[in-house]
Amino acid sequence: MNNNSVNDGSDGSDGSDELEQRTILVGSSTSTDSRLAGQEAAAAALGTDPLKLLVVYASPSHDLQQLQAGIASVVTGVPLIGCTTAGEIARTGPTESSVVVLGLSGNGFSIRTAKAAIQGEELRAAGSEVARCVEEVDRKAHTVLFLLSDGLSGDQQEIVRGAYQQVGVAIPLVGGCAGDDGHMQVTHQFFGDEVLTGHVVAAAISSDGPIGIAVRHGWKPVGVPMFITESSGVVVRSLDERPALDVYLDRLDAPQDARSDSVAFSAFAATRPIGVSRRGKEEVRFVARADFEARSIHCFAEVPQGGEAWIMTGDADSILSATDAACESALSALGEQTPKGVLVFDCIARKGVLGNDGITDEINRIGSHCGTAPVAGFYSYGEIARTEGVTGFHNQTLVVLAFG
Amino acid sequence: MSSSAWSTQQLAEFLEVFGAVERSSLLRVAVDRVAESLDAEIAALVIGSEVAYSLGFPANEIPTELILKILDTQPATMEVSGLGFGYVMSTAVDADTDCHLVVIRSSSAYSREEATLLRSMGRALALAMANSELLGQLSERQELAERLFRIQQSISHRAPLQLVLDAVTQGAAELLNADIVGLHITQDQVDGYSMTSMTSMSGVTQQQRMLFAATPVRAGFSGRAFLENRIVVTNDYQSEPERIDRGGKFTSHGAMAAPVHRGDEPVGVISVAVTDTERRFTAAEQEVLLSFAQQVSLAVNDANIVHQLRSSLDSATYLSTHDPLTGLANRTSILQLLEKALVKASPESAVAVLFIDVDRFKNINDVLGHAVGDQVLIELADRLRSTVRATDVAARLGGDEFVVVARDISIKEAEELANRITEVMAQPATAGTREVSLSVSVGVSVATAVVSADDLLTDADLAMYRAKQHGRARVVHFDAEMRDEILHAAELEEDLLVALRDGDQLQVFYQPIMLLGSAQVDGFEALIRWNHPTRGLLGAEEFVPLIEKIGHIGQIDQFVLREATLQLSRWQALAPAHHTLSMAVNLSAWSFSDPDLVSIVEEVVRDSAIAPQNLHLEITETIMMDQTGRVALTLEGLRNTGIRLAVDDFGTGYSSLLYLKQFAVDALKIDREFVVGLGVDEQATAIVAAIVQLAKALGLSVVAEGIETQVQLDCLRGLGCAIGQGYLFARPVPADAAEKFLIQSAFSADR
Repeated sequence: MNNNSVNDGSDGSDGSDELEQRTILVGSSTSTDSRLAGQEAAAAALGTDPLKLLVVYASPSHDLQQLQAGIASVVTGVPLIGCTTAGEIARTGPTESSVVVLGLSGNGFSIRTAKAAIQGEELRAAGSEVARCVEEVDRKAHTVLFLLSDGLSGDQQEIVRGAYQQVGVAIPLVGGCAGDDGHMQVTHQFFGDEVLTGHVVAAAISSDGPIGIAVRHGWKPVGVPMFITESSGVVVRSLDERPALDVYLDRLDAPQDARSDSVAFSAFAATRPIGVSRRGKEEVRFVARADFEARSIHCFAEVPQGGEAWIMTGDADSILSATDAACESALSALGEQTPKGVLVFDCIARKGVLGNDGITDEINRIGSHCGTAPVAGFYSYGEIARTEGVTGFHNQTLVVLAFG
Repeated sequence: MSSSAWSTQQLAEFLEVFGAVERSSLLRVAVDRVAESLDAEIAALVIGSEVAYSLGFPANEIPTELILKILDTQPATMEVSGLGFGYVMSTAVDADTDCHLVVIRSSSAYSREEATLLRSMGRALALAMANSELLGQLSERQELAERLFRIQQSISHRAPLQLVLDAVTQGAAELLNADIVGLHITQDQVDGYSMTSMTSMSGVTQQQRMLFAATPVRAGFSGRAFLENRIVVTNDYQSEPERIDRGGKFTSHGAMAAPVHRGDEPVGVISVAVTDTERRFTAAEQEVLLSFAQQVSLAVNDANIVHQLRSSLDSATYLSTHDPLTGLANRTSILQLLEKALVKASPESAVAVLFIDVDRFKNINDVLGHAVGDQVLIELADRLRSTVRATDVAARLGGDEFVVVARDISIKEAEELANRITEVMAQPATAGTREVSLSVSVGVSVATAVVSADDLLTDADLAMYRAKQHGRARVVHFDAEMRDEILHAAELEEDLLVALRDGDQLQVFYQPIMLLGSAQVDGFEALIRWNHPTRGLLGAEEFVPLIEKIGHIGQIDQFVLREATLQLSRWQALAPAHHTLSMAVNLSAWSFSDPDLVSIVEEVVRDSAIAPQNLHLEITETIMMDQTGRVALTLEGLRNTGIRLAVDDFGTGYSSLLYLKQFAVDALKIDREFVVGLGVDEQATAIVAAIVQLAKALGLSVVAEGIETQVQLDCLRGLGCAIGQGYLFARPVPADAAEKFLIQSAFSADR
């Protein structure tokens, strides 16, 4: 494990004037020149306080090495984590082919970062490994473990389980899975000046100020439940003892092209998740792709065999209601504090349902909840939020992380 | 989805995961799943004094002492660093290895279903641990998981509880390779709601099934599992003091039984038995049985919740507790009430069940139609309501069966009540313009101690049945011997099926019918006999009703008809003097309403080449009274074949001249009931004289049955009865003996 950190923290401050000690700035660039885009976005994320962490969300259309070089030309020696996305989010609105950089500055933050390769089936071990950075961080009043993972590398719940087992109940987990503009081929993670794939990167962020986290989805189950009669991990082989793909297509009355063409299927499935039942509440599972040979469907998180599943539906109204609810919940956790910065992890499927106008509306709504605080986020292939209860990996949700 | 359906689903997922997981990750996966199922932030598996695996504490700071203290003090809530206020729950996974699961969560207290779920998961974990040590093979574990999963599916799909239970017994039988698996769930007597007692069995005959259903759940070896609320195992069932001899050929050697729970209360038992004397139940097999018991517990809990949901509306409650026709309580609610009453049963405060069945109600329905039948039932229900005491409750179980449950009653008072009911119910009922005569048979059972509601009801039913057997319109008290007789009947039924299949146990016997004047043989009556392998020779009255009940009577009738006509044909061929010999055959009511009877008779007459007039079919008055018209049609067809009809047991029933005329019968048989009284009882003699006169007047022949003494014979001769049969001449005998008798009597008569 490589840890990358700066000597931040304990400067003897008594914390009486927190406003000077914690700053969050977000920069973004739509330049198609990757190096320039990196420079522009990073420069805008720098404040006057000591920089503790850079978080980078970048379109996969960029030359990522050039992007890193652009950032490095502005600032070096600062912990950095980030990933590619399926769309970037900043206060200016949702964009594609852009770069968003968020900077956490000030001695009110204490940060340690870590990375781990997701090797084969050892997702859980990778989760535990990156989570050890929590042990090293200089603990302030509030600590969160922020994770960015390669969502195309297996059951991400295992990563969350591993991280949770390592840090325990006292440390909330938050984050999302990297994207590749919906191609579902390869995603990248950033760690320091490295560009990685098949990795999980993490930052243990400890702050003098409060931290609010909320997760919501806007989907509702429809129709009668189906039994998951055969599945392993993220692959669902049969529902109600029929091939899962056939059941899924038939239930949704799928058009012809989605029945034979994998791209058409993924586009169709992106807005038609399935729900699985967990202790009285439904969790949403994003259907990523179909195996037309095996007649199975592949989801983005584990679908337990033996359980019940539903077809879920959502519309713009229900999804935007969830957006409001997530923002309100995360911000209310800050109490009297006004937010210093907000991070959002928004599922690509929600983007699919809302459409271009809809996501602009959504980002505006998020902005209106956040007042003047900067917002940075991305459209993800799975979201992480564990604050209460024990499950922490989600699909088709909006996760909001607010720093007070 | 209800919370318990959710529980069963969680358990199924849990089992599924275990089916596939390697031993090395078993504990970790188990704890993860327990935590996720209960949404508990903290979960730990403790073996002995070590925390084998935990979740929710930082990996480098697991507070072993705190966890052990939780197990020691069992707090319901506590403050946990990082979590805050938490709700705590723990369960023993395996007492032998001192293995426990602990969970803590912040959201809410645990429901009863969740407590059950944790126990179930602990049980499944113990099973998986034992399996991976003792069975080892992944395939076996997968099979178990698969089986339990299927059962869970039927629970979640809300399959009828009986089907779920059947799936459990069948699954347990197969997985444990057991000869018999029994599952008995009795009523809950704890918190108001109750389920009907249910049983399910695998690997047994109908006879054993009946006996099992009639055995109280607390009784026997398996009853120990219920009473002691734990699994019990024996390798030598025959030496167990509580063993129950179930009769039949089955001898149990190894047996084990585990309790089924509703909430924390044992409500039933699942038991398995094997005949193999070498068989020893392994620890893993015991775990398997416990797992099945746990599945049943979930199903029972679920069924209970479903029922409660259904009862949530008032109208729904009424419909679910009352008989729609009469407005009396229905079976479910009377059982419920009975259970409650039985909780307090004692010698000072006995509980009585009166089982009331309307005599010959089927006739009313058949003859007068169902609308009239329903009106009669409504009137009877009203009478019952006004006859019972204020504290008694009357119910209609269905059809013409009523039940009265009486609390705080002495045996004498129960008898008085039963007598009062028979009196009131025996008043004729008016249905429209018709007056219907009625009577009821009543069975009474009284509990002076806590027994199961089903048992008490069954006892009363048996007593009622006995009342019917003893001539109806009476009250009979239950006694324990009645159960033995039911067992006897059940065994007989099983043996009979074998006899019907194998054929050689059933034989036709022949009783000579004599010309009373000359002591010559006039013909024979063919009678079915059963040469039972252990009970010896059984007469028709001992098994024919049973054959009728199980629906093979047509087969028997044809068998006798064919044998008898062929035999007659052989005897007629022995000598020219035998050409007029006749053969009387008794057919069942079923055959007389079988449209094919005429062609069957034509066929046997043709095949045997006898003259049709030498075949006499005997018919009872009751059969002739049939209202459907089918019998009349058959009789007409039979007449046209040229065979003769004789009325059996004339004088005991309706003795309607109209029918004699309508069906143009050829002969009357005088029932032995009257023959016995000849020369002794003036009235009997007068009746016989009247029948003989009647027959002569109508131009019918007359045959006396059951002649046993010379006095009777002399008397009959004096009255002018020309033909008769009875032990005085010969008993029914096999064909070869009958043939000897025929030859000898011809010889002596010739002389």
